[in-house]
Amino acid sequence: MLTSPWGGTSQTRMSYSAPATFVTPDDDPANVFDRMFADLAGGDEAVERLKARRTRVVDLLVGEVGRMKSQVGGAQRAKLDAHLEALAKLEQGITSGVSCEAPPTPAAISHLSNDAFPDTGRQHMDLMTMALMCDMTRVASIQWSHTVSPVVFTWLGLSEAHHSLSHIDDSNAAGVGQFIDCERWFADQFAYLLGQLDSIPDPDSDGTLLDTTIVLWCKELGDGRLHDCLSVPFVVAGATDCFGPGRYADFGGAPHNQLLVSICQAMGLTNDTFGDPSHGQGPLPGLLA
Amino acid sequence: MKHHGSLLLLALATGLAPGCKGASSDEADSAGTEGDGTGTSGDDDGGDDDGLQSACDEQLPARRIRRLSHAEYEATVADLVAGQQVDASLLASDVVVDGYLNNADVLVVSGLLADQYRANAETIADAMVGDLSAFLPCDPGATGEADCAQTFVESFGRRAFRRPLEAAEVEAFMGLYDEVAAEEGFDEAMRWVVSALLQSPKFLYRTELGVQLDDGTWELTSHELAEQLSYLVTGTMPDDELAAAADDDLLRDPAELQAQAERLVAMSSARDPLLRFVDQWLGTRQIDFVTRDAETYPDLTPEIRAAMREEVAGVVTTVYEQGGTLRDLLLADFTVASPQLAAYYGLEHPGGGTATIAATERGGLLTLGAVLTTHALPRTSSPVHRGVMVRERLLCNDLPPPPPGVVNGAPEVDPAASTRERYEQHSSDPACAGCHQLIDPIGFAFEHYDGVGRWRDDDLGHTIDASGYIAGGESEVDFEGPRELADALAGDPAVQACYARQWASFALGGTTNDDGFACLVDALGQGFVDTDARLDALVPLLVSAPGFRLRRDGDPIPPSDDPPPDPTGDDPTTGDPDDSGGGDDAPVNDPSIDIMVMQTGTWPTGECNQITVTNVSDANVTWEVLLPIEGTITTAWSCTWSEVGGNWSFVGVDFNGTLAPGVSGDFGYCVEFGG
Repeated sequence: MLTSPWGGTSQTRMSYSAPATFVTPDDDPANVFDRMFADLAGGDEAVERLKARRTRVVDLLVGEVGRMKSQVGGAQRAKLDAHLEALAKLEQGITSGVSCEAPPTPAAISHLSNDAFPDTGRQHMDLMTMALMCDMTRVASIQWSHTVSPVVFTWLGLSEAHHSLSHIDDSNAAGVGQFIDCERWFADQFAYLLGQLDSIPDPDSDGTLLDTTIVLWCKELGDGRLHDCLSVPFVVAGATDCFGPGRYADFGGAPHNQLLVSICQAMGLTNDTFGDPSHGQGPLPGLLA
Repeated sequence: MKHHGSLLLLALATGLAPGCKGASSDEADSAGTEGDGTGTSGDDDGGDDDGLQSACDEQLPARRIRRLSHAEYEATVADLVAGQQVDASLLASDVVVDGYLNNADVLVVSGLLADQYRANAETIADAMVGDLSAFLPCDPGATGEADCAQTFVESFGRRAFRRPLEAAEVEAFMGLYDEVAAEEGFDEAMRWVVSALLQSPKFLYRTELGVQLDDGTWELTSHELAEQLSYLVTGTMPDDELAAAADDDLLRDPAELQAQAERLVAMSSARDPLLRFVDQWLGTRQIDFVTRDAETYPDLTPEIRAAMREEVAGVVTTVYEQGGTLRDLLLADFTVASPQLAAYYGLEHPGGGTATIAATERGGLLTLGAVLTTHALPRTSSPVHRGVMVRERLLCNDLPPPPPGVVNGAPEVDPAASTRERYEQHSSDPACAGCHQLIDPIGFAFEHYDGVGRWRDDDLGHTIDASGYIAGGESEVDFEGPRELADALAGDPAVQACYARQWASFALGGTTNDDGFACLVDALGQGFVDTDARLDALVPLLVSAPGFRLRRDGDPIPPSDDPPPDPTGDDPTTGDPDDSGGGDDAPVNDPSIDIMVMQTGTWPTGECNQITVTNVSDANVTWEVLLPIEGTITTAWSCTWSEVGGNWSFVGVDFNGTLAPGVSGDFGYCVEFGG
């Protein structure tokens, strides 16, 4: 979504693959679609040959980067190590399979324009649903904007940017009301995503994709006006077997790392920490049903 | 809910990373980064006509590689393969450092970008194979397919890598050719060879590695110099003439290098990097996307935004090509507008297309529509944004972040008061006034311009007061309106040196982490001031500097322990706490912790620091950090502090006070130095 205008920094990135290493988001649904489905045409044999050629090129590139690496010192080597890691990811993407028919190409939109924000979001959610349905991934994330979001919810008749509204003083009831309108709109989007997931039968069970998917909705701050990270709200949906739905749970300021541990464990992972272990260990007690 | 009555908007304006790079005026230039003595050392008075010849002999920049910026990649593809275009704006966005998109320290290839390079390379390869005879330097039927393929690898590769290929490189690409050709024939093999060449690191990175001389320094090769010069001046790969000069190894001769620089500067493509720099320097690259309330400002159409961008290009180009100075740019008495933009501004247009129009309330760099619009709010002007822009981008001041816990936000739009009145009231809180008196009085200069850059005689019926002052220097400078402000700025050597520093940040791809580059930038600033800040002086000054042609060893090869790249790109001034003024009396800290102090902001009378504590022992540590007392702590976060034996003692709080082995925690504080 709208993550690019500020470039990549720890302030603008939500998803990380390792400490201080963010996963570069792709703002453009058309790009995402191409990477998911564009190369499926031409039949199995053609697809296999394409994969083989691409893999062969990556192997050549790994050699080239390695040779360059032997000519340089520390900080420069780190750049090339990052490049090697990128090539490993590229190769992984090339060789992974797709067991699904390509959907129609999404309508072209100017994804960075303010007023296209709702359509862009919807396309991303549809692609995410498709990626999960086709088992192209088991984990996916959507980040709506970079922090200090400049998005103006014009489709709600608003004229101030989301970030400005987030700083509205309580004495300004109209402004606070507009901020609530924004947040309600996000809730609508969350409901839309859940509805999409719930409309697709899960191939491995009697239920729907929603029944076997954990969907987490979160924000980056607790009190946005104070820029603090205390009492940050989280909404967990789906995976009815794991989380008893319809609950409001208060964990008394426990670090959200523990929530993420709970989610990992619900997915069958065995990790006891998530991220920096000094920010809490183990799952949230009593969260999992 | 908890909130303060007073508001501070700095977080909006400083945005990404409240950093520190010293202050503009002489008395304040000790702000912290190494090698930061802004041209006051006078150590380049060696009698040389070329100001930079002898300045930094002992401090050369380190050898390095630079990934092409997205703009450079786009331009290079267009030059390399006739008829092919890639759209840089669709590539995974890079880390922005200090407003610039080409910082060499943080330009890396991510997984997504590698995939985008692949997709582009395959698209281009498809197009080339579709019209192969047009791209081949030989006839495969006549010379034999494999020979022709090799000739192509050598000639196309020479242009793609900006240097001849080594034998091992030719062999690697021919290995790929042979494999595919054996199965699927010549055309298909060429497709994959092109695809691989366009994803090669030799294509994607520029090198500044050189050949080692007897004295241990490294001299860049003619090919590396051609590449550096070409991207510096024209933002793309070397043209044929420069490439030929490199093949003849002529460019290690400084006179020849300078002659080539002069030739390139005269080319029209030399405006591309200049305008990219201005767009990133002043933030106007955002003009297409800054959000404005359509009801308040229905006239700010996409066409007007585009015309504003052309206006910046027109004014900057005109001043540059006339041999103008920074003063000429700041005080330009004309603008370059389309008929639509002229009508939008209420200016008389002579007819026809885009035209030069005399206008003193318009034209000066800071009163261009794109500059004023980018630094404003959805429904109003913003003295804070505009003041911060002048402080950070023209004076090279970095402003402290707002104290934690202060509610940040613009004052409410209120028809009963003028914008200036609203902001003056808003910043009257003493906790805010310290910084805002540096910012707002400058921003008030632009109050005759609304949130979308149009002139206004009054502010919704309120009288406009565009007077202000520049505080924080040796003496306060008063002005009335933007032209007097621009005049004061134009005459200030600190502003001229700041322009040179900003330009160098862009031209060199970031410089703050390297003593050699920092020295070069300082000398460049002094040299620029000596030319009375002629805009076209910077390229020749830089090209004549030893730091352009020579490198020192960077980190050893191979390194003992690779530090991970810093993807946050915050480009911090990191340092041992001992450097922060304590000297020999610096307190001794517990050896089981490692302490890194990062200055997150400085201003003439204070600074903020963030400290990362890492437990380097193999047991849990409940830490205490001792730092020398400097000034008075005004605010601190994620810690409690006290004075212990002439030092400050900081201890952590519940979530960071005790650290497991290998784990880090952060805290921070701000001080006022007081007088």
